[in-house]
Amino acid sequence: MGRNKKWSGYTSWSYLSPKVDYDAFPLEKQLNRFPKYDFGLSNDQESHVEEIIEKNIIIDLHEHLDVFPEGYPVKQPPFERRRQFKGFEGLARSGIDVVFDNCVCTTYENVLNWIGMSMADYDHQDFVIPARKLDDILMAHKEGKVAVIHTIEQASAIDRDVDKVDLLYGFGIRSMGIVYSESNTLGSGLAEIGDGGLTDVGYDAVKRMNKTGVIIDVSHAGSKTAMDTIQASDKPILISHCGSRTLWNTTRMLPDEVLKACAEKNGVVGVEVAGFAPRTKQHPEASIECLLDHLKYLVEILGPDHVGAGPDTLWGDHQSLYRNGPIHEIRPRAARGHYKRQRPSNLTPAHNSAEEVKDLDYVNGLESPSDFTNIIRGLAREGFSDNDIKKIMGLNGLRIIKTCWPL
Amino acid sequence: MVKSKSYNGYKAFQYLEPGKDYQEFKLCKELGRVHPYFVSLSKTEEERFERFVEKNLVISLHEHPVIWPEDMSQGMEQQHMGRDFMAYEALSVSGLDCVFDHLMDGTAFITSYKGWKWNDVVHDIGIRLSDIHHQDMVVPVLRVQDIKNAKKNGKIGVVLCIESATPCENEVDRLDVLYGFGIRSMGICYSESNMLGGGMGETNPELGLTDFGYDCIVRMNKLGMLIDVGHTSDRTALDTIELSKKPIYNSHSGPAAIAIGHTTGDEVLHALAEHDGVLGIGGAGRGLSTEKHPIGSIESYGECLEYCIKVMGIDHVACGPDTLYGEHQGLYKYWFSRLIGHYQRPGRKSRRQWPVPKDAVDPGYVKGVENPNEFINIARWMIKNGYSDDEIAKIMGGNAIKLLEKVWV
Repeated sequence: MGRNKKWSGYTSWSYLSPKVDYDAFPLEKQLNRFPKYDFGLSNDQESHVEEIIEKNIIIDLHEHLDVFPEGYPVKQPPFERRRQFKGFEGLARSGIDVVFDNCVCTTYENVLNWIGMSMADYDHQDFVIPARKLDDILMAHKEGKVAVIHTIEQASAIDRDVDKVDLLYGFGIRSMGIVYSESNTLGSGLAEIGDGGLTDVGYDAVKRMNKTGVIIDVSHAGSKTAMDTIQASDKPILISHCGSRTLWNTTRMLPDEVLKACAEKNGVVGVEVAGFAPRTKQHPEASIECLLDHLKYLVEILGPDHVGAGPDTLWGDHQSLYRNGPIHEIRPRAARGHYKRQRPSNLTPAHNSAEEVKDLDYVNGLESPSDFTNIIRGLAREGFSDNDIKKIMGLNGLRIIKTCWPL
Repeated sequence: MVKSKSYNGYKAFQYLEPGKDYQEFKLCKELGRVHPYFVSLSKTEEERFERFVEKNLVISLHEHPVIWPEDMSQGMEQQHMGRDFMAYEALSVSGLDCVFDHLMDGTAFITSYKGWKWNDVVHDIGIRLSDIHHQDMVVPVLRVQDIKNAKKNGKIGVVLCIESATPCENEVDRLDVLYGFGIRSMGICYSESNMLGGGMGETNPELGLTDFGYDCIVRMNKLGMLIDVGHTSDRTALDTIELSKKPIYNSHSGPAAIAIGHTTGDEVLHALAEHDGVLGIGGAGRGLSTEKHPIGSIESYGECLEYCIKVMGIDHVACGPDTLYGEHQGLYKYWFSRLIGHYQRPGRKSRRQWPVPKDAVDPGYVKGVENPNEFINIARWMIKNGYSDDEIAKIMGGNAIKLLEKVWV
């Protein structure tokens, strides 16, 4: 709905006193951290892009609405993660109407804290609305607000208790990843040596998610687990942040066969760009061009009705997190009893290797959620039609929401 | 008699399959489980009553609007499953515009029959919200405007409340998390004491608010969480009233000066009124027993209401009958008999009783205030007993709204 969002200036935890009620520190800037990315568009094209943003529901399929402490992780130690600082300013200028905000936590306690704290923060202002039903989303677009869809990237918190799907839905979770890169009781993650597929508990969870009205995501799953989930689900699947293994050969990318199965069941595949994300031979360094390359390819093989964008960024130095090794609950896994295990030599690597990619310190052109609408500029530059842009940037996400949610 | 809400027939958890997704219990009738008793009014009084409920907000400060098993001996097992069945159909014709739902709390039996555990209480809230978010007659209330909108749109607002902060253990931040889940009212402690303070059942009546209890009050004031002293000792209530920078309430109690049951002393009533607070007249399964009406009923309720209005003033009283849909007194029988590991401490006083006339009939429930659908009976009693519309409007909801406007965001 454009840049004129009704943000009052509220910042996280304004109802409390810093240092007395919560741990406070200087935060990263949310805007203009890096030079603007030049797409080489004419003035007319730029105006047209702004018009698309103004008139259409813009949906970001995967982000972390998190503002990091200044200098974290390079210059700062790990900090108390119980309270996040949401990027209200960054969101207000982003042009985004609806965004899937993700909790990456493994444990039930940490997930509950994330949800409860995020909601307590939002309940003290009126600009960001936690979206629990379709009406909330439509209202946000109409009234100059932002609708946040709370998501968990892994359903590990439910363990073997399928009732926890209902419980998390009750607390506002409207989308769940089956599994993160490491396995859990529901299935195998993409970083494992083997992929046993969706477990019986995972199958039960998928059925309960269908009944309760939770969107299912397999972005981090092993390819067999992803395929099993797509087949077991009665509803379309959202692969919120991924890419094509054909263009970039890591298990972080899903094989085309899985992406096609998702599309055939009316699902949506979102392309990401942060961290161990898709790169291409033409664009091996982290930039919006990688995302655009994968988007173009996916539109070719899946059609424009089944593609979207979930960049997976935040406001802060997230690329450093990945450079220090796979992130897990924010502390390096090497210090938490994670050991080097022998892997078969012919195994597809899970993540990009340092030799192959020449990543910058930041994702050029798509560094934070505030840059999300740059994708529209890129698509315009690549000659995508307005109709296709509207689908990729919102209507496809809206369709998944309408199909899966009960209200 | 009262206008029904826009109800489409939704039954609790109908998005799931009984027997397959959850263990099925035969629940009691949500309407007419016992013969309803409404204070009889003349024709003009009846018309006045209908106009009253049409025009004014009807808010109960304390109910458990869920349906219990028909056979109450299954009640414990049903709570152990962790799934409470909201009485949507009954609520749709109850005349209530807003209900403060005080959840399972003490009967959150998922991991223990002692209740109150963080995981169990959170489980109850999440499952209830999952149900509520599959229908649209009952709307979760987070702000005062939500209550006003509910009445305007033919819906019922539900305020989620926890009767005691026991689940918080020693973590002040848990208050924020519970607030984030939608809890807007929090009790200091239950009849049993906890880390925040002394409960009303505590042998030593001088056990008041602890330092951690003070921390919680400071945080709740900042959050915009309404503080409840419904189950605390008088000492803890007085400490809380004095230390809270915002007005507080007692969601459900009666006057100890004239009643036996769930009661609070006059000193607390005075302090509440002086500090802009509100007392919700309570009663629960046995109701309030007075000398004139030793068997709890709408008559003893009215007598207590009248007394509290006299002591506190018309602006500081409201209603929180603390009823449910089911055999309430049966619940006590099966629940309290399960409380093993609780010993008779020396110095413990036993409960007094008013003498009951030989010919008095005890129906085994509170006649006229038996379930949430009889809440509006209180307005009928007030009409019958000479109160003006303005006075009734304050007691039935106006005082509650004024309190919330001072406390909530």
